Amino acid sequence: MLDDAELMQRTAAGDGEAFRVLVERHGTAVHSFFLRLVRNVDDAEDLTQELFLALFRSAGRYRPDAPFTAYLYRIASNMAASHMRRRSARRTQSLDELAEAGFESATARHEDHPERTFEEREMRRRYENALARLPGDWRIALELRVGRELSYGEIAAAMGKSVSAVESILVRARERVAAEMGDVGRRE
Amino acid sequence: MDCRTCRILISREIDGEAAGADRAGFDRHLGSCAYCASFRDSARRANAVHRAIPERAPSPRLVASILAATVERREIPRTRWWLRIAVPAAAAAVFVLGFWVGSLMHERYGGESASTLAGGAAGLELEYLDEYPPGSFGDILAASYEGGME
Ligand SMILES: [Zn+2]
Repeated sequence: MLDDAELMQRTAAGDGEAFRVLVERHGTAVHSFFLRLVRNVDDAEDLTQELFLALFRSAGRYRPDAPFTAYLYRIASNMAASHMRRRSARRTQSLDELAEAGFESATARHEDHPERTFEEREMRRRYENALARLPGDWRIALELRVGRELSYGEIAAAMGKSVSAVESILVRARERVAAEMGDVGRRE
Repeated sequence: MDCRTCRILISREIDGEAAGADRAGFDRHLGSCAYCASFRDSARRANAVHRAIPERAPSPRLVASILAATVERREIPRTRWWLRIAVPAAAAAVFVLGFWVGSLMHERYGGESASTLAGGAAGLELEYLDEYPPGSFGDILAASYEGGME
């Protein structure tokens, strides 16, 4: 199986099949990333399309010494950040609402549990509300770490920050979420 | 160990990043600081909630649209397709015209110089058609036929 860097080089050389594999391999992750951050189905679709167009056009400029995930999520994070800045007034949808809007996953990485208990749904709702109040780059960092499972080093490369800045954002984001959810009353 | 350092280590622990050297100091602080112990429980729970959010695959329509705007455009070049028909057609037209002029001249004047003159004209036309640069008349024609320049 070809790795992402090789697929990018082949794409740059005009191999359409290589790009198809990249779309197939990263489509669900990228789409989920945008959906969670912008919380609007149409916007997430637009951003997913934009991202892959940008990736396709820039294939010739990609240098394989940079890890592909960091490269991919650098573009994606910039797009998400500028979208979140532009559109603070637009209505967002909760992830449950998104699921109910006929938005079924074909290849869910985590299993969807239709029998989820009321407590679990309530917990997720509170978590989402807490997330929604975080600054945009804190949410991006959390999603890159927890949702996309990028390492601190990859997140630093994707967000153009140092590893210690990423570490500090993740701690502050988690403290804020805990406080918003009423779990931790105060900070030292 | 202070609370700030402890919370950084809790966050790193949740993320599976290397925890640093002072494991004993970390455990001692957690044992004596209710706030950090509570933060650790809360952050772990929140992490589990985040991880349980289902992934959403892009719709087949979206994937088709991405491919149509990228690889399929490259695989089925819009302009060149038109030129592949236009150039031989133009060449054939010039050849037929040249042949017709040549036979007319032959009929009127006889001899061989006339038909080489017409053949030379046909060659000139072909060269011109082969060489016109992108963005020239042929591309504009092709683009207008396809419904717009790229
Ligand atoms: Zn403490």
